[in-house]
Amino acid sequence: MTPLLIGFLVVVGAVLQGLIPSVPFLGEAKAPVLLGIVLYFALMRNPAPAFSTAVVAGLFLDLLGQGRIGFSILCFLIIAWVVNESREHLFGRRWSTHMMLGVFGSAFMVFSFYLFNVIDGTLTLPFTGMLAKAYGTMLLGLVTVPIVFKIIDWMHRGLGIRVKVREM
Amino acid sequence: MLRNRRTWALLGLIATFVVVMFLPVSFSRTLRRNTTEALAPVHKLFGSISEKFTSAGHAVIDRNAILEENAALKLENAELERRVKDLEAIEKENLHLAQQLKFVQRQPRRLRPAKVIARDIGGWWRVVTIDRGHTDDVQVDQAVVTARGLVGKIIETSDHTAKVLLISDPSCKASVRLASEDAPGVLSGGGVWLRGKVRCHLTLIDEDVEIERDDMLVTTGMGGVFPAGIDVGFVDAVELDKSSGLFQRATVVPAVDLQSLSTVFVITSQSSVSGSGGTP
Repeated sequence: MTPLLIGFLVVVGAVLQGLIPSVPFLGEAKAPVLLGIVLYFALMRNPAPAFSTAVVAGLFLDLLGQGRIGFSILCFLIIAWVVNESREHLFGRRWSTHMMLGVFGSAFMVFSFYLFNVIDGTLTLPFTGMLAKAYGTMLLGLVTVPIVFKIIDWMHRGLGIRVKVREM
Repeated sequence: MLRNRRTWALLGLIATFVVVMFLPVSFSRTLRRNTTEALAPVHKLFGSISEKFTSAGHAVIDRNAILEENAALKLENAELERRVKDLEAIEKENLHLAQQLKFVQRQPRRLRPAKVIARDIGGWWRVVTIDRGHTDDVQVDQAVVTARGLVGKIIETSDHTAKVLLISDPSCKASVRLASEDAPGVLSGGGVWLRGKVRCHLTLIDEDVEIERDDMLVTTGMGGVFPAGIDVGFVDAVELDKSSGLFQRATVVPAVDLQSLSTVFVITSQSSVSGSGGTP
């Protein structure tokens, strides 16, 4: 059931992220829907679904973008690994945790993706543009990631999949 | 033991990443094309749902505004009908004169209408996906326009979709000139500014040329991608290029609102139209 759920969520997440227009005055930031999905599986599930989600989501992000295939996979894998390793120290059910992960995850994605693509020569964006985008994505991550968590949590309950997380 | 397995799994994933990153360009291009193609129906479905929600939301919120607008439009319609009748008479006279002077009308280009079904997933590149591809004669390096002017060019195609690089992307360059005089320059994308305005940069304009704010720019036709005479945008600000001292540079506001594109036209042929399918 889990692989199907991951596939479904990543496809819908990728389509939604592509459809939702970027916010021009926030450095053309996009709502990080796929990041939210990756963070959910990294925080709530075992390493296998966490890493699989990171690979599939990263692959979609790269295939539907214009950069080299692989950069997003690496970024998502690092995020999934860090969050999955520290999940026993985080309160998985709290909104504040989801918001904090949204902010830091977005910042990491923007900085690392920018760095990789500028070095690779596939992206022409001034540093100030990247800073504006990082700020915007962090703000959107603060809002989007908790919503994504809530929706996936609701789907897990509907499908009868149990998740074990640290509670208060 | 478990920790050891986890480390091995992670190492395996990193190895997969390395393999994926160094895939041959042709293979990754095919993979990318097929993914865009496979997701096109889902994009269209979600796009039509969001369109319906948006229009339903507008209908509920702006009912009063719509009623007022409707009344104003009825008045405007009556006025326009009167003008059309006047113009029909003028058109007849004009045609007659044109025939007499053996006026050769400019041949229309073949335009293929397309709907924008997706935008760049990460917001890093100014690229949109349209619902036309190979099967509709859409090919790489064809120009994309709207009634207002230039939008960009096709950079990738699959059977039923294509990706359009917008003129606001820094990697998109076009040869342009001032509409009022023959002063060529190079237009490149300037991205979106912090205040949310889309801008382009105009460079290599001779320092002797008089450029003013709101001057219109059109394509020159050089380079073979963008046909000549398409409106590009208006000059917003001009300054001397201090690095060379020989040229002027200007900031340009695109003629088309690139942030809210919904329907565009691909110029599939620059010669005269014969046959069906295209909209001249």
